[in-house]
Amino acid sequence: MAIPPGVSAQNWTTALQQFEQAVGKSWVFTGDDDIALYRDAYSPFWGEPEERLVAAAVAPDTTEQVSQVVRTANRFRIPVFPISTGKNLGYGGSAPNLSGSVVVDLKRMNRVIEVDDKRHFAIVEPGVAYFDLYRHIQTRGLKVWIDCPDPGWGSPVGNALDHGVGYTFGAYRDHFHSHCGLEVVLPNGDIVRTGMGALPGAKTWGEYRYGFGPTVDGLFAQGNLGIVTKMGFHLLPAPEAYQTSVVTVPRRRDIVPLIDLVNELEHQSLIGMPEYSSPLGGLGPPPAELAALLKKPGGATDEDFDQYAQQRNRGSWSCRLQFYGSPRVIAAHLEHAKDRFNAVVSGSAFQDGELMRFPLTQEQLDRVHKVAVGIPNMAIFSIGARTELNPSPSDGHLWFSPIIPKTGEAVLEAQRVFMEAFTKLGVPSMVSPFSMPATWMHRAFIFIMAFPISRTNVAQNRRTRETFRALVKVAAEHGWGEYRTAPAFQDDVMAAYSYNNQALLRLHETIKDAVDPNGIVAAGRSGVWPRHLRRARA
Amino acid sequence: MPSRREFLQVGFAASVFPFATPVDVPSLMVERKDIATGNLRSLYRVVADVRFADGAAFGLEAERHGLHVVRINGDITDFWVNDLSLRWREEAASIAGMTAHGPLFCLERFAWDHGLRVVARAEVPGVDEPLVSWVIAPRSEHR
Repeated sequence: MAIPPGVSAQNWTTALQQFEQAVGKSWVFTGDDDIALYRDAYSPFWGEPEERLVAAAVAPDTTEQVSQVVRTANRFRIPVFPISTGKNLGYGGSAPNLSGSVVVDLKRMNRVIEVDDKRHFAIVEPGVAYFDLYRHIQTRGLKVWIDCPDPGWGSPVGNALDHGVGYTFGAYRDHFHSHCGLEVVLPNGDIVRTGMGALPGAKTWGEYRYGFGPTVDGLFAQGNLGIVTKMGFHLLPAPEAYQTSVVTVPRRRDIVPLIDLVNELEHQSLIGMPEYSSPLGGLGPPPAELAALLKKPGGATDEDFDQYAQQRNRGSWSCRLQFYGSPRVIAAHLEHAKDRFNAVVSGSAFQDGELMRFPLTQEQLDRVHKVAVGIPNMAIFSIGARTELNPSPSDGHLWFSPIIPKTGEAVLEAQRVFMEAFTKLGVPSMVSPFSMPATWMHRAFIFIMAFPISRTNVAQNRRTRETFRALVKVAAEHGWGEYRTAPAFQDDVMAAYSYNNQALLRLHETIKDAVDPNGIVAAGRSGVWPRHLRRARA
Repeated sequence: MPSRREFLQVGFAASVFPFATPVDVPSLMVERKDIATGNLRSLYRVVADVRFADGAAFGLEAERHGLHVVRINGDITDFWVNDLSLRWREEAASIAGMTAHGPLFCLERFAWDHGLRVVARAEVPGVDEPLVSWVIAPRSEHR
């Protein structure tokens, strides 16, 4: 059995006994088989000495038990790492930043405290999965939607605390933005409620997030100042109907007005999440003529691409717009969108989808993008199978997630910069002149890439890590920073947020030292290390 | 080397027995007679990934033995939401299957949260898609 770093065998034994007293013997895990479950399934260090492994896991059932566990950990200076449902694949899974940490596994805390479909909020514990909350709502016939990511087995609390995102309306897609009120166990075991929750008997904990005084909630997202044990969320009132329409624009430079117009529609809350693509892109190797164009000395021009598209009667860019509301509202918003495009982008064309009224028929459910209508699912795991276009499926992936501005110019710049970077690094490019960003964020794009991870090829993983770190620097040189990353790269990403001699990191460290002087909670999370480990790393 | 047909049958046999120890599936590949004598009732469901011919054949074989087969197209959502999650709330029931890695990856992680483990796992040889024959059973059954 591993022992947490800096902890004596005697103290470790005593701490385990106290953990067992707090949560029950059957909920303290120290066996190799059990703690292996907390490995990051997509670890870029899989099987290497640097892989982040845990010493034990403790699964409390109540906030009070969490408090007891934390008090014990603080007494013996045992590093703990909280997880909710522990998925977070591609961003670290359930593995800690510091090997030898004790995972505080909150899956047993799976109570839906409250859902209100008149005031549109929920309050849940961290072990509640999207599936659980959805089931709770559906079985009671409540008229609210959740906003969930792909896949749906994660925790609304855990996802929001990692700044996770979803697929419906902007105000709800940013899951931490839609949170309202926290309950947190601090490193000394004290239990704090934020927002209106700080007022005993408050009637609006899930509705008004600020309460009174300075707002501290953000310190607990991607943070390491405590363990969140309850969280409120604003929910979307269930709309009557849903419709998509795909707008396609003909020329390469039309990406600029395309994104400007979609921004206008989205920021006016007339559409949900837009989804961009290029009719010229796609999986697999490009057709010969396009391949030749891509290899043209000096690079293909916009006119080259336009000619290629025109000859094939394809547009250059498309965007799937999503409309929610009553059929009349949807019709009006769609008509307005068409008016705006027809006035600004000549040659733009719309292809309308079916107007779907809720509840959907089974046939509609089978073809709708379920997360776009708030239905959690696991379908994403069915697309990684070996196919002709994907002959060597990987064992996992790492997300590289730089935030770029929501403009056509920025997308074209990101394409160019990252393609050049891949060439310079001598690795196959994951970006093409048709790559489009992810649009989960309401007010920014994520120019996301998935780096494959191997369970068997250490050399490949090493090259991937080197490439990843190089791209973090390339992105930073262009003013782009990652919004989220796996523990392996959190120091690198935090280092890129370097304004004024790392003033932000220094502030985080100051707060960390004050709130968690023994540095027991999630040491190293987001690159924020406790003082004793900071010195060792300096 | 067994034929693919034999493997499907024997892989199925490997999938339907409760195991006292972690299973060496290759060693079971010669125990075809066990197909007829296995304790089939111990399985709650058999999952067949019918995107692939071998997965579909596996499902038919299981059905021939009177087992309740769930056919999936790679997506375990309906099975999980409307069936297995409800059952596992009540009891850590064993399941088996032949699927691609993705569906097994999901089911394995759900299983962990309910005190079950993958106690047998073997890739189906000789097919393009790396299908896996597997058994998920309560933790105590493989200790």
